[in-house]
Amino acid sequence: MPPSHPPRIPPPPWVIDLKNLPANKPRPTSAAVPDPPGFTNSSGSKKSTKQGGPTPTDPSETDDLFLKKAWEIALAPAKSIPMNAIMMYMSGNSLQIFSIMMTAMLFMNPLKALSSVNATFARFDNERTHARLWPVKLAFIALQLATIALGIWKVNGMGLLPTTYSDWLAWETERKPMEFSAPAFQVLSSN
Amino acid sequence: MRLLSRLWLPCLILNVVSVLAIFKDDAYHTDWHIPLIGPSIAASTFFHRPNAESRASLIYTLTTRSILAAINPKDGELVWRQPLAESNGTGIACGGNGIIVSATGSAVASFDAANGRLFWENQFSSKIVDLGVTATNAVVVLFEDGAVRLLKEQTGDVAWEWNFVDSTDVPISLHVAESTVTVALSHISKLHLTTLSLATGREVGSPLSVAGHPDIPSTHRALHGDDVLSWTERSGSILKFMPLAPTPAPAFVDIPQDVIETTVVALKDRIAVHYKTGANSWVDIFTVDAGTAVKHYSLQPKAGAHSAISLSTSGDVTYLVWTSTDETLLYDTNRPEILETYPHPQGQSVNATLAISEVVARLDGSWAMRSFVSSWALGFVGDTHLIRNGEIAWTRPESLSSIVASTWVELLDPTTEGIVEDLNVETHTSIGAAYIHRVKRHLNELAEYGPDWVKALPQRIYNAFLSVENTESERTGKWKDFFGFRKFAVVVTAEGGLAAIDVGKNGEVVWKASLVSPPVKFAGISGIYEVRKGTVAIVAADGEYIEYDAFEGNELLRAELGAPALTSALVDTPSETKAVVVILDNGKSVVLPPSPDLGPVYLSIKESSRLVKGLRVTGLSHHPETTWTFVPPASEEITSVVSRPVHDPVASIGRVLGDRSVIYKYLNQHLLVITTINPTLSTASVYILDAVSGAVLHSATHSGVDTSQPIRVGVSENWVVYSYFGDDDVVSTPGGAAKGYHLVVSELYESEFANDRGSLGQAANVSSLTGAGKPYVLSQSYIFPSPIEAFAVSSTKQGITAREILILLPGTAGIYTLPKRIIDPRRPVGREPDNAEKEEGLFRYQPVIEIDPRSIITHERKVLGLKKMETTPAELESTSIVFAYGLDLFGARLAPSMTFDMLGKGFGKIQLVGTVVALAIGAAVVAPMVRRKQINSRWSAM
Repeated sequence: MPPSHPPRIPPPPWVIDLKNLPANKPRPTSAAVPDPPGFTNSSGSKKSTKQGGPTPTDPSETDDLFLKKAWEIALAPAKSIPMNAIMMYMSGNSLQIFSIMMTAMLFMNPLKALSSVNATFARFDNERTHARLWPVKLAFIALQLATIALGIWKVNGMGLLPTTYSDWLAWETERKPMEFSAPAFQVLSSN
Repeated sequence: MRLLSRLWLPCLILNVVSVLAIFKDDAYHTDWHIPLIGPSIAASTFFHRPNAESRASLIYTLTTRSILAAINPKDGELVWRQPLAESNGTGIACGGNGIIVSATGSAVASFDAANGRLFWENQFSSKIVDLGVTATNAVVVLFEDGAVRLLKEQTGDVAWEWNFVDSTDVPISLHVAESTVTVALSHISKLHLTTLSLATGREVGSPLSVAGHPDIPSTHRALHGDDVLSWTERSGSILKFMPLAPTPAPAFVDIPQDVIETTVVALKDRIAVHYKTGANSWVDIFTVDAGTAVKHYSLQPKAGAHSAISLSTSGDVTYLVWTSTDETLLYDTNRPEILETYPHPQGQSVNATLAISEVVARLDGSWAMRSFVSSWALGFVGDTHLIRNGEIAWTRPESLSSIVASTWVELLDPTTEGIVEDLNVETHTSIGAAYIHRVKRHLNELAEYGPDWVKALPQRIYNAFLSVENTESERTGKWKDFFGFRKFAVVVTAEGGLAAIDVGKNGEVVWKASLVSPPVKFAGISGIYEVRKGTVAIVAADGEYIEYDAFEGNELLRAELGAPALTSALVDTPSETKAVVVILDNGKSVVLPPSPDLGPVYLSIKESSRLVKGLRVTGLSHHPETTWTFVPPASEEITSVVSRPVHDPVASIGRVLGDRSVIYKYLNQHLLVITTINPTLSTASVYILDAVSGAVLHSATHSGVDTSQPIRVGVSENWVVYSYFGDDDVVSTPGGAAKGYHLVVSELYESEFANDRGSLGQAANVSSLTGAGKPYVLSQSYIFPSPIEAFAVSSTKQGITAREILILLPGTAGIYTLPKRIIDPRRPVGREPDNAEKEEGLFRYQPVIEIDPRSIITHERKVLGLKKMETTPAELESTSIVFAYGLDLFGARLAPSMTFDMLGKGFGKIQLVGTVVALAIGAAVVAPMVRRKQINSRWSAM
């Protein structure tokens, strides 16, 4: 390390900024600053009532709400199935980039959803709702499977399912003849 | 599958257009054509000026293949050629003022000497003996029945006719003078010379008689003009000749016993007589003086069985050109001394059988001499050469015009040939051991060849980009090129010559050999086969089995079979080698090389026009058993027997229909197609047999057939295509046969129903003897706008590429390729195809097949006389190689589904690499800029 100091250069602005932090003043609370005249804080009043009245909620009520919410989530795919079906029907059976992408989505989304069934319903899951969530989950899985079935129907329509003889033709072999023959009627004369 | 078929469909539709043609830049590069005319006839070969104004003369020749041609003496190219009526190798051609007149058989024709255009043609009932052209281009013709006719120069119509009365007279020759024509007739022991006026056809003066009794037919060749009459007497022991004069006096010479050929050549006042024995030849020169021939001098005999003489006049001097095997000698006919000796270049000896010459004295005292020579070699007759002052200026391989058979020879692959043993080890050990062996081999190879390969890499890349030259020409000799476009066709000529033609290299002759030794005449060939890698076997009809090295042309083996060969076949033996089975005249069979392990092989033989027979041959027994016979119904004659090609791989055993179901092809290795005609009922029948059991699988009879026109058949895979001429006028048929050439296609399927493999179900084996089932046959008939000379089917390595039918069109029309799809019998008739059919690639049936000129693979060339087409696969799946012979030779590459496995010439290598390089450079330049900008933008955001 050479002993000579580099020429003194002024520190960059950010260093100055960092060193001279403004005084950390607390933000004025709403209570401290009076509302302007004529302003009525409706939300504030609500909040205040909530805050003010900590009424203990009934846990069964919450669970019902949870289940209701869970059912809503579970049945959401049912709403998209008709739309998907119409789209699939309309897009035709030709192999084009859009129909291929749409069909791929029909498989991707349900599979993703199926792999995270528990995570989807985790926030509604507690000791009490656990047992009652089963039918919800089953309905959810069934609907996802229905979407997949729609995809399979579409893929079949596109002719991508190996369900016919022609799909297995390449694996069928010619019958081996048991005898050997050779043509021998080649009579070539000198003229 | 459906995915594939969907992806294929647009390609197929595109192909409808594209398969019709090869790339334009490939035409005339990947195909070649050698136009041939055949061996020249001595008396009808001459130098002649195409018209009076022209200074240069052309070579005109009439050949034994009845082709009249004009050859440019400069380069040997054909100026024009005209096929004439066939006449067993004889014919006369004469030159007139701007015209060439020919006579073959009983037809006379006059052609424009400059361009070969036909002026007129006249057909007579009697054969033509001699012909002369008058100064005004009128043609005097002497007929076999003794009539002399003058044909008008403009139209060829008969101007006058003269008939002699005595039927014992035999016409000999015709001699045209300025205003008269002299007819020589042989009458018992006299020669009558009658002179006729050209203007009127009346006799001028009284006929002259000369004592003489000419040999008829004669072995003597008279190659002289009209001024001399020559003949032999007493079975060729005396040669007489006389100049035609008011008081003719024949000169005669005794011919020694051992002379086999004498030739008289006359020009102006000189007559040269050429004698040939088996060992040497000599020449006598006679001078004509006041109507009598006087012997001038005799030239010393020259050793050698082959030589030819010709006379040429220039100025006042008449020169004699004597062409022997190793040298050409020039004499002045006034003196017996040699003027000039022109030795032929080393190794280019010419066995001349006929020669015509032109000699011009130069100012400096030397001579300019050129001779057109037809040569003879064992098995190769009629090659023509032009010898210019001793140098062989060009050569035309006319002997290859008589090819009768050919076989393909696979060349060696340089990459595998050296490691054949290693590869064998790998195929014969267990998978694990083979894998280890292979890895070791690759490591060894990497160590051995790797550094060189890396070193050569820049050069290779450089070549690939910049050199225009195609890399396919890099390998020569017996080594295969990278794509396998080079293949040898080993051919046999009618005279017993054997030659290897490099089909991938413009038909170059690689080697020549002869199957016969001099005294024996070639008896014909019963079969030619590639029996092993690089070995061809020939079965000669006289019962000889000969093996040749296909790359060098050395004889490897010659075996006598003991009896003339009736027929032969190439069979596979259990030890994965091939053997030739020969059925001999005496009913025995021979297997060569002897293979006792050869199991029963079934051969089918056309015994006569009423019998096809199946034979069972084994390696042990020498007595083939007859297993079945096929006798067609009464009064039917068998015209052809055809089977599937030896190499006929099938890529898919079924056919996918539009609804994704499959109809299975009836694939029978033993398919045998027999066509018969019934001239009394005017019907043609086609029988499809199983060659092992002899069972008739299918038959069809067509009525209203012109049985005088041949029926042609092509077979491949599971289909048969044949053609006949349908004519309702021959015999009226209930439905009425469309008049024209019918092209019928029949496809054989295992079952009528889709997804059904027929009676055998999923069986893995099939035996014809226990029942191979009967096919379900779909047929459709089309009208083809041209007669068909022959069918062939394109052949590719795996059979994946669509097949194309090669149709040989008659005359000079060439070879037409018809995609098999076009004549699909499933094409919907009378309606538009529905969606499923469209998906299958079917389109509406239309009875007439139009000939698309773009599908003619001979392009604009006028190919002539092709008789047979042979196809073989190249190394690339897309490509099939074609070789056609008969008179001309033609070779081409076929890519029925386009060259999908090869980049075309138009592929922009430089463009592609340039784009990549430019992008890489761009990225390298832009990347730091972008990085800096991103950092700056982060900071400026603070």
